Amino acid sequence: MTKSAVKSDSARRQAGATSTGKRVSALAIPAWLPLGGILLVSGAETVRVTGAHRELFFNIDHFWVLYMLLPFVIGIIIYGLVRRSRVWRLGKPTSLLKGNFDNLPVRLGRLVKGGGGTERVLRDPYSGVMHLCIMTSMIVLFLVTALLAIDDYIPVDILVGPRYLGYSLVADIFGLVGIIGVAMAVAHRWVRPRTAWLPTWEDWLILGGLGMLLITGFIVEGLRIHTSEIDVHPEWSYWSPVGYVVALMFSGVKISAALDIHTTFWWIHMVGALSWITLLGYSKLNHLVLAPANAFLKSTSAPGKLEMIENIEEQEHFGVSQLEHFTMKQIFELDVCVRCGRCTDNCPADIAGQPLSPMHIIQDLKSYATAVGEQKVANLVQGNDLNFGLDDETPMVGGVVRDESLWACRTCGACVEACPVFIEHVPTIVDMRRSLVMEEARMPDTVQGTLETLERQGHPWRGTPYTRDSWMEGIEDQIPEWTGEQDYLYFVGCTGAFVDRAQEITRSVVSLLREADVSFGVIKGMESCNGDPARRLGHEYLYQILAEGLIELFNETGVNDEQKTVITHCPHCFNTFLNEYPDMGAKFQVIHHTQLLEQLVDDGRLVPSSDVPEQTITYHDSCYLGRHNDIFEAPRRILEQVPNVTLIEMPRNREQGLCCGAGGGNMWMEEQGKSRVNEVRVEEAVATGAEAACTACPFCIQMFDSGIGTVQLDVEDEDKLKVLDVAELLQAAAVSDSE
Amino acid sequence: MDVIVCVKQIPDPETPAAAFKVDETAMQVLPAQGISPVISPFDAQAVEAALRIKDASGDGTVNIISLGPDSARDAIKHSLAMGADEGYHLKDDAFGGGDAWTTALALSKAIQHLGVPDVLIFGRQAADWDQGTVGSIVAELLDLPSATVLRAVELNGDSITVSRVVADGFENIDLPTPCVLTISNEFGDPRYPQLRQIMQAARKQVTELTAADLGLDASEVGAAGSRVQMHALFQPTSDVEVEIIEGDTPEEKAAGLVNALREAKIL
Repeated sequence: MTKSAVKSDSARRQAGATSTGKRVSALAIPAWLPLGGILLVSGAETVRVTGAHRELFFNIDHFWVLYMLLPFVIGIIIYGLVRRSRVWRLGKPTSLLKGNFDNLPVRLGRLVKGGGGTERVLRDPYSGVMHLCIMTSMIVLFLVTALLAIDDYIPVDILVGPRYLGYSLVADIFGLVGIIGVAMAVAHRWVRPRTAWLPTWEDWLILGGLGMLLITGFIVEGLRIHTSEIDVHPEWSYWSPVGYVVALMFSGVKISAALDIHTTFWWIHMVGALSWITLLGYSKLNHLVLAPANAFLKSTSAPGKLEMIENIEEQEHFGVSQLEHFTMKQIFELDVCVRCGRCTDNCPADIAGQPLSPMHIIQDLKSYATAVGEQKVANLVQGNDLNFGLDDETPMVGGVVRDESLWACRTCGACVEACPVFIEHVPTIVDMRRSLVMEEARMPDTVQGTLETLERQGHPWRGTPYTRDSWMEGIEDQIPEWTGEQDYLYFVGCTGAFVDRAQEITRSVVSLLREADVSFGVIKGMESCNGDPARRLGHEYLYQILAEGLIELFNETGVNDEQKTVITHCPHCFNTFLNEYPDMGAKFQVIHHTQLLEQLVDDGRLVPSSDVPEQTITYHDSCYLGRHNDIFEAPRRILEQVPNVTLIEMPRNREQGLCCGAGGGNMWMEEQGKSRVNEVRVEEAVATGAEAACTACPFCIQMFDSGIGTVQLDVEDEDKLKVLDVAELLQAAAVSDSE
Repeated sequence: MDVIVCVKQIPDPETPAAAFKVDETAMQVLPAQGISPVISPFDAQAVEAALRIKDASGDGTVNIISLGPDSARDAIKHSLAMGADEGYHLKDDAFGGGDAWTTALALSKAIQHLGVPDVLIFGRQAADWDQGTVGSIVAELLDLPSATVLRAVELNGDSITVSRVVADGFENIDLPTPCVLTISNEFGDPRYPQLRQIMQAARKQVTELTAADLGLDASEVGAAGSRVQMHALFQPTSDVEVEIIEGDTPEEKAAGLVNALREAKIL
């Protein structure tokens, strides 16, 4: 039997109207390709008609209507996306739009792995599998359909014989995989919906539509097999297993009636498919296109870096209080969000029951961008003032997004790390903080106090009884003054100088550097804050003033030199120096004390040999060292080399580490909410059964200490979790005259 | 309603004790390293009070006067950043080394020079020497009614209702204008300046006035005109002795503590 053996249009076309068919396909196919979804849907049907032993448009008249509809469908999708893009374009242009793609290989890698490969989606087993089922099903059905169309329109028949049968089997399997995926997605929403992302109409429309398409596809296939295949070539039907089963279900139906039902379902399927795919322009289904695009567009700088406000004194506004103050990418990102809720599930504030959900911030801004953004676009089109008619609108900052949500952010980046579609929540949150602080001067008293202390005293520790050099008392002669000749400047930082618990870390670091005979010095009395707290709290101007002052000091003292390296034991100083100071003219190298200490241990210059008591230690990742700067292993390798120490991990570790609660300036704020982040984290550390928690950040240490005070209130002192900086443990093991 | 606020720049009261040093010979406080002088906190509250009066009355000006060295300009700029309109800096070597009297004299001349406003506001005291007299002396010199140590100020048509902090409560008073008010910390926190205002304040000119501009002779002001003479300046030393009260039960310890306090004549 050949293709034309059965009745129908394809025979007619091959006999007389071939040229028309070719022309239509030539027009249609290029338009199909970029819109993968269209074909994969029509694929569910077309898949099962032509081929070695079946035919395209079996039992269907007027199939050309479909081709007539296609341009409309494409037009509707493009209209939707273009309409949205006008809202995106309200934002400020970024260099990305001018095609300045820095680190192109990184971007392309992310596009492939994170966009196409859905690397991050797969981290969650259930939704990873669910998404993989739906996605692979759609891709395979698309390819299968494309192949069918190609086969039909080229003179040579590819899908003949065994090739057709294998092809049919693959199509059936992936149709079934798609149904499994949709069922999992429905179950996910129905059976265990999380308050973070209660499903909306979008979810039901997309999933319901897709499920309907897959099912009607199989019904159409089954009816085709029932009416034209099963009696003639039953052995072919086995290669369409799902279709075969459906055919059996219809076995009692008369062929003529079955043909009518087939026609009806074919049209339901096709028109349904074309309608469904228009959701691409109007719902979160757009993530098919936008998510890979966002993977490509995401900043390639270190995640902990905030963008500088250039020429700040000439700005018309500071930070973001209006939609149009965002960059185009920030507004674009709002539309990429699929409400999966992973950001919120990983947010330390949300975990502690505090008033912040990154997903809701993005979603609320998205709703705002829809309502107000489109009004602004209309104003522009009509030549009105941008904000015409919007006076009574709820303000974006303080209304749509509440102040307390912005302040609860730790800038820890857990949300950014978890987001499967590569949204960067933290810069968006900090941009709104900038407006609160610099534009409106509206902030919690504690923030104001911290900023005032930074302005006046050059450090954030209001009320400290210490001076910058208090930590040196009694060991002044052991601390080499920076002369400009040494290799390393040890930058003590404010916490290391003004907080007594952190002074102990500072002294440990000095002791280790001396033990290893490192050429280092300290700028006594003259250091000032590098501006990090001001920057995270939103006071970019104060950050720039402090940074300029410190760089000037570094210039005068010969620190700002490519040959010189600054050691910090504070990951926040480290991040700012390493990632943000180059924008301010810094040339020096930066190293965190754990990196240097690891090297010194490796080189045999520090030998952790003496007996520290046998103990189990869990290591807590500082966000600004770990997630933001990818230093996960150096501190762990130091701990592993200390005798008698057994290192165990908390469930949330490394990239998934939970913030101690101090980040983003929260070190100096009152927490609001059900519980405190540090208590949650301390509970996690205690649950490991470890005797001590080690970390490499003075903030984390303070947060742990205060968390232990409440979590282990009833525990005897000697049984309480001990908290140590890596340097303190190493000092105990490697410095012979340490206490 | 027009208001003039007199502000003083002082060493940051939050300077840690360890960084506070005096030169006993020169009888001067040494500036702490790396800690900038600030507007006296009570004076910042005085500026806040003035701004609220201006806002409540719907019009008028808030002008700032400060007497001090070059750096005092920053205290004026801070007030301007909070929202004040104009700043006047009484700057003259002759003003150096003065006391409350010479300061009040210079300020009162400057106020007359600018025109006596509806309300004159001071902080209850400068948070460095804590004398708390300049406001009252200016009121005497200008022959104006005054109310000191205020926790609340309310406009009441042409008069002003204020609430004074007194030892056993509050005292509410009506004053006619013009009058002199001194503001206490109970008034509330001063506003944090918006960045735009800080930048505008940075560009604003501060008018400088010398003793001669105010019609004052150098002998009347500064060290020469002072009525207070300092004899010594030193940091008192304090010895702390710790005694641990022993006892087997909390009751015993409490009894021991009471005995110890009686012995020390505290109880």
